[in-house]
Amino acid sequence: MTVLVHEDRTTPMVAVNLLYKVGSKHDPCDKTGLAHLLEHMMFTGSSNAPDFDTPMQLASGENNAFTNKDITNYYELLPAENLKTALWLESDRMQDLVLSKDAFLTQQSVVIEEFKETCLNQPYGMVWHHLLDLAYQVHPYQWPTIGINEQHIQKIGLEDLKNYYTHYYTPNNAILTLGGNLSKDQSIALAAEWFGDLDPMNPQTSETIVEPNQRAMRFKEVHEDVPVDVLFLAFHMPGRIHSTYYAADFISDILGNGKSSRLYQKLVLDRKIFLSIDAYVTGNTDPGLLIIEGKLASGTTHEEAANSIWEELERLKSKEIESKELSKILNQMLSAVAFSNTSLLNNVMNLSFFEYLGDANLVNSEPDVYGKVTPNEIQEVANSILQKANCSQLNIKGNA
Amino acid sequence: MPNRSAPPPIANVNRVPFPEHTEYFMVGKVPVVRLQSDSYSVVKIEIIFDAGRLYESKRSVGKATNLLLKSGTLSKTIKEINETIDYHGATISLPVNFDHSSIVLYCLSKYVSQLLPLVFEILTQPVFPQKEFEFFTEQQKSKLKVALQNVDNQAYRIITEQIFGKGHPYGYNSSLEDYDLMTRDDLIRHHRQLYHLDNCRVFISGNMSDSDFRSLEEMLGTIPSGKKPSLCPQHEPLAKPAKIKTPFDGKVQSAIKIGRKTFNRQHEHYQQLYILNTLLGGYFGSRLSMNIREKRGFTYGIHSSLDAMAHDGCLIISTEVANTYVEPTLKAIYEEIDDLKTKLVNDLELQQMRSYLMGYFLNSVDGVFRSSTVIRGLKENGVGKEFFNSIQDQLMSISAKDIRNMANQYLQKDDLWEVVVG
Repeated sequence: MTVLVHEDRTTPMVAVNLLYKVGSKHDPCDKTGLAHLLEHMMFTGSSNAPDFDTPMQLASGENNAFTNKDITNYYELLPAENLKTALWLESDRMQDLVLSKDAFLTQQSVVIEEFKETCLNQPYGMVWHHLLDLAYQVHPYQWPTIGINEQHIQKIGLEDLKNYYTHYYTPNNAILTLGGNLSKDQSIALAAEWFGDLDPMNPQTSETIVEPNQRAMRFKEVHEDVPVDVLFLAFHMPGRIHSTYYAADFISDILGNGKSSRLYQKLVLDRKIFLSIDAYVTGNTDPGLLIIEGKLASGTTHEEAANSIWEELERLKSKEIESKELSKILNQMLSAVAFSNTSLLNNVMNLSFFEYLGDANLVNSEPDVYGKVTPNEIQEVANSILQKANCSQLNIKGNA
Repeated sequence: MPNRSAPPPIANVNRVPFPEHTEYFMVGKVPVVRLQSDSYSVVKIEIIFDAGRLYESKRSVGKATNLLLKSGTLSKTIKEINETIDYHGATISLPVNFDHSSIVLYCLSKYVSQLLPLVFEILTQPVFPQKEFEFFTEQQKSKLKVALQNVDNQAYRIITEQIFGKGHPYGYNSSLEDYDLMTRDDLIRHHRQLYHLDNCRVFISGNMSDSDFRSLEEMLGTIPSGKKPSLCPQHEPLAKPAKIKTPFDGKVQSAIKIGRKTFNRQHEHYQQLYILNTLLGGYFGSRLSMNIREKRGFTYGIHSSLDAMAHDGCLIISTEVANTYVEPTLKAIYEEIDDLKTKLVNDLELQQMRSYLMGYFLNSVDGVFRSSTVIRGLKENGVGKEFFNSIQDQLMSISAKDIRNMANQYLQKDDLWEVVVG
């Protein structure tokens, strides 16, 4: 198990972050939502701690977890004196999760209600299902982390969870970061004490699935009972550690970060084609997506809206950006990093995440990598990504 | 080998000190709270006005005025304003709540001197261009239409309208019509009457140089003086709490809200009620969460919150469940309430809630940004350090009987509104 320590003596707290290198891309394709359901089960008791949350609360701690396409990440935040409580609980559930039938049935029901609350019952709640399904044909990024539908979640059995847990929840498939008011030596000794006796296993290696290059534009239109029309354009782009990821990320900033961004200024404020517009990258480990998402002003058609975006994309592809615009997005990035760095929890999560990507030092060096992106590189990457043949267009048509 | 069979010993958090800060009066009358951290490279500067719903001449004018401050000044277009903010990687957010409207600058410390003049220009010389005003109302109407598709929002609108009254600033629901009735002149008037020196205070947290701090005082001097607004809270006769069921076709889940009017933080029972609310539904280990989610699996989440505004408050239990679970969920919620009214909570449950809350308090003042939020929240409610200390004393000394008394006083079924939308 990889262990990282981040000493910060300005806080009375410690934070523990445990990242498992398993996410919804490892779900079986007929039982999607498995990784996320297992995350719920991780709070239902291990052999020595029949309940995870109560001891944490007794230790004045807070804890939670999230699952995404690539990883499952658990964290605790508690007073420095009670660090051992978190290590006891995390190591115990890594060693021997109980996975009882009763808890399983309850959590399956909770997750089905989560699916209803966040997907079925929300306006636009199913757009990610539509968009990912359109953009990916073979890669498991084609389903959202929560699962394709209720039936999939219902089909997952306790045995599936047990197998998954045995294969993926092993010390050598995890990254532990301890941060806050602690010393490096003490932390490493404690990590060795609590996790050193856990048996490594050979984590299940699944073959890497490569999404074939898209060759023609894809298009889908969905009619929903929503009051405002929405347009999505999704473009395949490199994964999180690819050398051109940074330029692609900057392209999304140029297009959609802030109210002076090109799309907001031109298409919302000037031309009033959209009521709001945004551009962002999914930031997945395997090749991900650059997404442009806009709510249409009344009277605008999806075709006009899409054409207006393409005009801006063509402008970006045909002319290098000026240094002032590059300084702007660099400043936006540096500012976001500086604010994020004031949070202990963000710091330990980022350390774990960058170590998962291959190098914890990226926490410090990544801003420099962004700083080296040139206007020319941005133009080149824009030309390679922002192509119709690389685009999936999703129209949500409402009832207005 | 560690001993896994027993939990490691736990240290209790016995006292969370009130965060260190400095208080000033700038230009002789503007209260300023400053939390300096030299190790940060960023700063947050928040200027607050009593200009929320309580002080509106027409519905939703408070929100519209504040959100449109950035849309143009005497000398700058909306585009120039946006470019200056973005170029420095800064954010200017314009939050509004029932009582207050704020302008908040978040930026790298090294750019404060470039951005403060813009903040004050926005504050003192907004022109609310007609074109931007019209587009804003279209944006807001569209947001509202989407929000109305959400059962949880609908239930919140219904229950707060009942708790406070349809005409009360805390109770009224914004409507599409508000934006048709509103004119640019209403915004200009709202701004002129309320965004002045005698109606504002400042909270600074993070790293701000002394010279920037002095410039801030100079610029505050450019805000005109005015008259402290007087409040005329409308009191209307409130209906007796009842059950309201509103059908919403096509929804697979229903939103449930159960709640009542309470009071602000200055009330003698606020702290004890806060503790009771935490036990009932204020954290993951609470009664409602353990029962409705962790035992029965009826919902993804259930919680109860005790909101305190400047002049009032409300306690509301909220959850979303499959339509078929509505009846058993309601039954289980009332059973938990009855239990708190008739039985004494045991020591372990009490200790668990105490420990959780002390950890929550400790974390809430970790770092100058969070500390500033805590101090602001207390001060805006007319309390401060004493409250922060006494709620901890209350937490340590409260007995199971006190909690049962609170439940009997404030959780009588006849006093609770019940709203189901779905």
